[in-house]
Amino acid sequence: MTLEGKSLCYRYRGASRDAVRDVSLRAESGAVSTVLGPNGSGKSTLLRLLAGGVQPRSGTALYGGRPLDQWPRRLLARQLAVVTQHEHIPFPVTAGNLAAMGRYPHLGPWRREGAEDRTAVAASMERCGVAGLEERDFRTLSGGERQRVRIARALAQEPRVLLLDEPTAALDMRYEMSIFRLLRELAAHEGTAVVLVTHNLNLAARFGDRHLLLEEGATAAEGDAADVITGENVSRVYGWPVGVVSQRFQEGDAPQVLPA
Amino acid sequence: MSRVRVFVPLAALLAAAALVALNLGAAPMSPAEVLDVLLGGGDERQRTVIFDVRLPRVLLALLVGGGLAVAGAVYQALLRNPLADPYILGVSGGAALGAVAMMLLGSAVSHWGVAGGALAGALLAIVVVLRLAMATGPTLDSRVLLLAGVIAGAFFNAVILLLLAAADFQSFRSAVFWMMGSLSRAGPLEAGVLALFLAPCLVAAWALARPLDLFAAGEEMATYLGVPVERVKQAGYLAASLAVAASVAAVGIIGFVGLIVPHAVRMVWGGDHRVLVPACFLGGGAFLVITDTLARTVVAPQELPTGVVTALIGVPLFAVLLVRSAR
Amino acid sequence: MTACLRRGRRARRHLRRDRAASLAAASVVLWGWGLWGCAPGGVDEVGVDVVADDLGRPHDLSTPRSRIVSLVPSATETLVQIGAGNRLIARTQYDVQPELASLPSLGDPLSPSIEALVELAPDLVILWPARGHGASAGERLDAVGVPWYGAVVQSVGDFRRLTGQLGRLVGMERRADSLLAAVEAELRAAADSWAGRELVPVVYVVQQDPPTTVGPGTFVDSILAAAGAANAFRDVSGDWPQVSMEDVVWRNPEYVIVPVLNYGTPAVPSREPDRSAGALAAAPGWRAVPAVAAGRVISVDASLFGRPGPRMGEAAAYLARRLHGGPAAPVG
Repeated sequence: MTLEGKSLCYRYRGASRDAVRDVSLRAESGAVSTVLGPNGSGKSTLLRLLAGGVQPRSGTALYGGRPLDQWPRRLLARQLAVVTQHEHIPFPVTAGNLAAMGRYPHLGPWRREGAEDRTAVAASMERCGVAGLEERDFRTLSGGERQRVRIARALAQEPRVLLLDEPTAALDMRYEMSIFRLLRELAAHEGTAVVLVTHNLNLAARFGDRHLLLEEGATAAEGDAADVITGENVSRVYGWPVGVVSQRFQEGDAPQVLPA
Repeated sequence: MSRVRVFVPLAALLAAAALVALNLGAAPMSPAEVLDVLLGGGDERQRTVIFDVRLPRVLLALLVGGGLAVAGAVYQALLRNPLADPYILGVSGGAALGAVAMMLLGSAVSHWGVAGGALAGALLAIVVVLRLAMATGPTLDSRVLLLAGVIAGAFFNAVILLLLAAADFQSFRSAVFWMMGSLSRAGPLEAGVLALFLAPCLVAAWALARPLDLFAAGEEMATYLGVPVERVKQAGYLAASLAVAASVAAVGIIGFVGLIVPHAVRMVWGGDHRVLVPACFLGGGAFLVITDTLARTVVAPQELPTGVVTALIGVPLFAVLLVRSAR
Repeated sequence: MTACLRRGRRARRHLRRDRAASLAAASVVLWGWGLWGCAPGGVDEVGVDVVADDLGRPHDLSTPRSRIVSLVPSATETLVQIGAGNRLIARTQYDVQPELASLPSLGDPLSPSIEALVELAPDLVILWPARGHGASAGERLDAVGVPWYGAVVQSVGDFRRLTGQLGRLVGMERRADSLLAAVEAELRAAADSWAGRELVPVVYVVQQDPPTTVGPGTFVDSILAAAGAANAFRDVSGDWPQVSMEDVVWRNPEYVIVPVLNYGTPAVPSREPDRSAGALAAAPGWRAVPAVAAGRVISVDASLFGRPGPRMGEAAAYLARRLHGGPAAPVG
């Protein structure tokens, strides 16, 4: 089953133009799809449409051919996990309990957490490099730790599709690299369909398989890195002249952006 | 966190508080005599004091304290607002209006009539506030709900003041004392009726514990984690509001329990609602049993309003916890 | 003003303490009668006779008052009884005597309309100086130049003092004296009616929730004493003490006495079992009091028992009859 957005349009209440205008996207399993674009280009809104957090004005978002709003949220949450951009936690909660929230869709109303669930949480925390932080208050963790605990929570859902909104914003290089590596690995080894909203064009080009470049809510370019991340496209959409060079990494060749 | 490590000390505290409360009062009875009465002995007068006065009052304090603390915890979780207290959504205002209206009808209205009026007023407030909050969109917006609750509460208060302005002195006095809240309106029957009203609300709150945990991450995130957010909100508000309605109808408005106890429990034992909800019931019950015992003994033979003592004891206690948890 | 108030209160508290002591000493019925000399008063600097009201404010006696508004129902009764009823120019909602029915009503005496009072142009307003927020009624009357007499009446002694003062203010001192003698005689007669029998322990319910009763030294306590009832809360301090429900249960009075508003009217017929006594029997706490459970509740007319006025003897006689049976004395 795949997640698919068809001709999605969305307008915020009181706004004079669409935040997302006629955008289509298909999250292939085993692939990292990135959504690129400057601030305010509609990336986060597109992600919310794909997650079923908001309903499109026109067009449809489907999972397995069924519109998202017709899915019971609990069943959908077993297939589709979301890491939003911000999360304000008003009460004390331990990192372990926060990650364990990811098991909620797998529990019945009268089914308690079992060994299987605890193993899944421990494994996803291990995988995100936050094992050992279980008893810490989530709110006292560093930004990088918090973000990785939240990704661990999404992984504990054991999703087929993983949607992330700028998961590495405000993280240092080491955390950023480890998260991109992790996403790449999830797609490659577990066949997860990863949809990633990011500002980091260079890492997107290096780790992503498909790219969608948004400009004022509409599709400016889509395809693989060589087609989308060109000097012309990026300079025009971001409004800043850039040069693009090709660089060889262990993942393969990737265009890299150098702002003028 | 092992739940036994939370519930056993709280239950022990509650039991100890109840035992002390049963031993204190205007009637001079030794602990041995009290024990004798509890085991079926004692003379007629002693039995009346224990079974018709002290025990119902302890039970009522336990139920009201526990119910308000659980309701406060549920409101705080749903509104994602640590400042939410059980009276924030106007339930108490509606209840007070219903009670005052019944009192002004005349001295012939029994305390059941006043309690019924309070319950009806509280239910009216719940319906009005929920409808107002849902009028702005297809979903129940918690921010609008908060606003609707505060506004409805202000309106009810205005109507109460209007009624009181026209009331004679005797009714005015009764109404003011009713609103200050008192646990002296306790009888075995009243405690039993309140328990019947509260039980389904408390069970519902406990059954909602896990989804309530997920509300900490925000409504949108909770949706993504599989929570049927709208249904949980409606069930949660309804259960908590009905618990508050029953408590206020039984004893009037007793403040601070529902605000302070959930916070204190969270600070000490964390925010897991499967621990928090039962711990709030035990802790809130113990807190109100203790404060009410103080209220009726410190200036005996007079009594202080219980709500005053909950604030006088609760606030410094809370401040200590706050400072310690900040370290 | 406040200083005056405080001084007046302190003086009265002092008097009451004295009286309470002597009451205790005189075991049963003395109700503080005749333990004081004459009422406070004197002559001011320019040689005019004055009386001081209960706040210590002077009122000159050069002209008898003829346009009076009484906002204190017991004082209203006193004025009617001494034959000064025709000097009253208004009444309150509690003054339901037939002879006052034609007067305009000012409504609730505790929150009188100052405007309506000014309109009536009285030469004396008798009011209960309640201390509240903002300006009191007295201060507001001062502002518009309406003379007022502050009356604080809690005990039989207070009634005696006020009656004397009112007699002087309207120039009917002798009639006031004979009213006092008549009330005294009625109280003694009530006490004689049960002579030789045991005192009946009672609790008088000023308010059901929170439980509030009467303390020693109040006029109600004196009525109870004259009626052959022993106030179960005589040892508690305060005029109208709030007590715990458990204490009421524990003190186990023989009878519980409940004052009822509108008693003996079509709304609350005095002959039928009273509804507020029924409410008491249903109320948590109260229904655990053995006397209430056994139906030993006496409902009495709140306008008779709630007023430190000339009908206190009537109240005592009525209660004595209810408690002790005895010879059926004619009422009022």
